[in-house]
Amino acid sequence: MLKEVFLGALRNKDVKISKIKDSNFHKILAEASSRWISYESVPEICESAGIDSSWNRRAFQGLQLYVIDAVAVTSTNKILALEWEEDIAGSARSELLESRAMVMEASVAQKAAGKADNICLDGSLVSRLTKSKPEAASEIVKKCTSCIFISKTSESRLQFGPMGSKAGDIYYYGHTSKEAGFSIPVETQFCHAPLFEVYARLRDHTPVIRIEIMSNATEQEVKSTLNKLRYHSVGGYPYCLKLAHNTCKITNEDIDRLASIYGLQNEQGARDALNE
Amino acid sequence: MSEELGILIGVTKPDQVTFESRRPVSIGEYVILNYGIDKVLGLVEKSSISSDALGSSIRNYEEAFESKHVAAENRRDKSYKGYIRILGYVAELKKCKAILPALPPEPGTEVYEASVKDLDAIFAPSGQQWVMIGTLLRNTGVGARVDINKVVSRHLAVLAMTGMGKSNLVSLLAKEIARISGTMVIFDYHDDYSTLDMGSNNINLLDGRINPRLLSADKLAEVIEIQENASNQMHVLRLAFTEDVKQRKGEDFWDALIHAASEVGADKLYREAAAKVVDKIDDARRKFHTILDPSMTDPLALLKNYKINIINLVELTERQANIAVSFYLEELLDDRKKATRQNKGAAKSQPRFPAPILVAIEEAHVFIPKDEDTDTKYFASKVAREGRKFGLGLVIVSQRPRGIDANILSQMGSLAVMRMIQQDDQMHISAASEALSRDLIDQLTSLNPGEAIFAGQWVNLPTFVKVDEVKERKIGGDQKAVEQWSQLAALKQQAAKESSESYIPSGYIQD
Repeated sequence: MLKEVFLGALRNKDVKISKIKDSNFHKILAEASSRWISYESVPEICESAGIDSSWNRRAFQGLQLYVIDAVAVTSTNKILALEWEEDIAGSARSELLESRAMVMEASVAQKAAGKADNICLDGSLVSRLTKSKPEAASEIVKKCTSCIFISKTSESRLQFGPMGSKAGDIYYYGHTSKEAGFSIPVETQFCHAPLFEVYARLRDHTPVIRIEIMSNATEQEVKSTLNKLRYHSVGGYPYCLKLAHNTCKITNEDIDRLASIYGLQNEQGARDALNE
Repeated sequence: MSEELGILIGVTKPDQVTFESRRPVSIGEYVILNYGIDKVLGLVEKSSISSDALGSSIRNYEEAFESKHVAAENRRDKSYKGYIRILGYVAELKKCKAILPALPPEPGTEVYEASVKDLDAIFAPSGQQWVMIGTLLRNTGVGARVDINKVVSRHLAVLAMTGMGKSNLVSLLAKEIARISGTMVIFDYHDDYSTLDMGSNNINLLDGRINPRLLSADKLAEVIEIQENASNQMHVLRLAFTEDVKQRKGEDFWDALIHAASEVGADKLYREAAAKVVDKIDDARRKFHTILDPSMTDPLALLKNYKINIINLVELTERQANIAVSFYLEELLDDRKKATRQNKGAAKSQPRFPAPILVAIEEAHVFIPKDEDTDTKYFASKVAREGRKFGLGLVIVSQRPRGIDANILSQMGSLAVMRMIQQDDQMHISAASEALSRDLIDQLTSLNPGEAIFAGQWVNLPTFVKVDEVKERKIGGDQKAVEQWSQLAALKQQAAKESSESYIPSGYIQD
């Protein structure tokens, strides 16, 4: 990279940071602090399942080779349900694949329901609306009522946006304190259904995570959820979600292997077409 | 076929493959792969265990602690990988031939534990030349044998840190050679073998003595400790050490030598040097009277055929020991040449040793040093080069391989290498021998006392061996200082008590 970029960053660091940490910053922090409930969760023995999906594709001379999969896996690496789809189609837009992956997650969640005490889906439910078709989101609402949605990062400004926040809400909760606890649940609407948003830290000095709960979330219910999540969590994040992510991940090597099975690798011009 | 152990993964090569195992695999374990025209034997050279949860992304202790718990409950968490060196077709190895398949095995090929029957046929072949030396390190049910013919014809280096079992291995070889009525000579620099109890019929213990009459003037100068750069003194000794003096025996020899040196001193130019030489001769006569023996017969005549001859060099200085060893090596090589010529009907006189001999030199880095020319180095080099033709085998033993002359080390056709930590030593062995791969050398730090890697011509394959302990060898370990001091202190206390009690009149102490 240009060394001028680094030099500029060094010179203007204070000015640029002050844009985020302006006078409003401390006001928001104070507000976040007032909404934070200190709570050291107590691990509750349970079986948690993580659900995640993945998709990948390769373009080939007007055709799209794509794969989508979704999996429900427990912290002990027991696969509760899985689904996949692979095809060569004339078109496979990312929005379409994202929507299908979400529908697949909903379906896997439905299959896993009752097989684990706690079912967690990776990522935010609200952000899914922006990436996929509304039908997919409503499918989730239908089939995942008992699930919780967990994200490590979030851009949501639902709580501090009206106060003129520059960063996402999770940023301010992360800066209020380093103690374990959670924010007062805030109710919002998702596809005409109530959705509760909670920011939580499972252990002291671990990153804040964002939790969305589709059923009613009282303080007591949030505490019970945190206790379950704390069991088999690593670094403040449920291990079942890490396993789900690793299990379903479709890498470029995987899609190359699939292209090889279809014989696409051997076609003239294949390498250009396969984005390589 | 034994139990399936794992499956080949990744890129395979004709001589090297990786497999995912169902259990942790030990380095040195033998495995069987089924591909090509027959079963193929492999050796696990590296082994690793990794955990998905406990990966390198762990950032702090807390995360490690939590990950440990989730890893314990996830039965797919661990990955046991083994790295195999392909050694050859089993059927060919049983015939002592290492034939590698031309093609690599396909990934997905199953890996099995090698059966005792297969390993036995490979590592413990039958035949009189194959002697039992221990068991395979990871398959203790399988004996490990070595080919003594190859030791004698192609030589052996025994290399290890102190206390790892070098002398035990040499003793074991001696024991086995005695069992088959072979002839061996051990130069015992640290008095490690004098208590080797194999029955008086098998052992011939000798004190390392030198007959000064049989030496050259230069060697005699070394023995009586005339400095190398004292050219005048050397000149005096050369003139004094006449054939006539050499004919004298016993004390007469020393008197004649002193007389002759004094006579050389009549020349004004050498008066001072002659006086010093006389002093040196007189000194050596008194100081080394147990070592320098002008009345002894030919030292070679003291060595016995079909016995283990142990020459104790403990009382000799390094220079004297060097001369003694070189003398024996030169004489033995000459004798073996004579024996070979006689077999061809060309020899004029009878050789003393009609059958091959194995010579073991302890502390090889002292006698065969890298950066110095010694007499022993010269003759050891000759034996290493020519010994094969004449049936004179060499065993060099050292805890400091980096100090041994690389040329001689490279001519050792067989190796027994035990625990070795110093990188320099490992590099030196690696450079001097093709028999040990880099991966095998990397394992040297993980060996325990009594464990060794055997490689080269005395074994069919590089072998991890647990060497048998020679019970007949009574000492050789470290002195237990604290124990001995305590015993002495207790004795002293007892003696003091007894001596003070003798001064107390009886009845003086009342109860």
